[in-house]
Amino acid sequence: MPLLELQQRLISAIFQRDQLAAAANLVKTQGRLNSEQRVGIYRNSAHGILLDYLESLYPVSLELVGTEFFGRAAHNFIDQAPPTSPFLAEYGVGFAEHLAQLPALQELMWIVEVTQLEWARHAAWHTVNQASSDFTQLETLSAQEQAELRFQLPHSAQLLSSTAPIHSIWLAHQTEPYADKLSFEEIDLQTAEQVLIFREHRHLHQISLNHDDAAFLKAVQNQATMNELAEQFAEQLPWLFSIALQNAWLTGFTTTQPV
Amino acid sequence: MQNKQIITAALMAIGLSAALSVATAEDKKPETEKCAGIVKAGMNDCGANGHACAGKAAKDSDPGEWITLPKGTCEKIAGGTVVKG
Repeated sequence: MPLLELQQRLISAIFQRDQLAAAANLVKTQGRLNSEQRVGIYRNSAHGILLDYLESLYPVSLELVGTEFFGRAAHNFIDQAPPTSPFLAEYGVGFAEHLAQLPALQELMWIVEVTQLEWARHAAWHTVNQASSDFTQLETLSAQEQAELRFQLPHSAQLLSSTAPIHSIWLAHQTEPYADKLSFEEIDLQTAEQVLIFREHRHLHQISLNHDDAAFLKAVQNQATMNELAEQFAEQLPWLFSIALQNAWLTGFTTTQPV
Repeated sequence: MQNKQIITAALMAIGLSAALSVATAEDKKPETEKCAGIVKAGMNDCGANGHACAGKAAKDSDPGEWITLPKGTCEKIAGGTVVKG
């Protein structure tokens, strides 16, 4: 059998439970372990490593659903969505959507939203930092160029709009004494939250935004021009820019049309 | 307020915030130095020693691997050597 086919059949056995017996035909029985058990060692090893990784990626989700439930969900996820890249940091996207399909969580979608937040943190952390533009240069532009300006959030920015207070729930599960941390019992699960996550140098920021800041950043993310921002936010606009720049929520600007 | 006035006010706010950010960043920027010989495997800062990027140091306390430290710290650490440049 060509090596490539052998490798593909072994991979099938690792990530598809029903292929274990087929792959076992390729392996000899030795000692007290039959061929299926010997292939199973590889399956368990790969699943074990990926389960450990998913647990480290989604620690709050793990606490919320419990080790047993998380383990079952993770094993099914690993079979349905095995790694496709050699970079482990790229693995785990889509786990929230996998959880969203599970009947047991249909009435607990806030847990799925917390899982989405945990992936957003991971994705933001693994985004390359970029230098900020020099905003003092804006005054050198013509009035026409200023009206057509578009602004940019950090490349790592993740804007989440959730029906549940995901930032508060996440904080409640941290051991560090954050200033705005509430105990889980104090949190009203019906409160929607808008959350911004982004990386600045070696620091990951996670902020619960007020309605105005969230609407402003959403408009910026949607490539609204300065003129459109002025229409939408009127007298609030200078204040919104001040807050955004002081908190490093904006990193650049352009006068060119989006592609 | 007309759009033009709003944009002018917004640009003033941006200019002030940007100038403030630059001043703050300059105030806060500490003097640093590269310190070699004290780095744990996988915890080095930047490209050196035949590899291209941070976190690639293969063994502890390699004299060719460095991390950035506040100036004056390196000489206080056993095995630490300041890297020039």
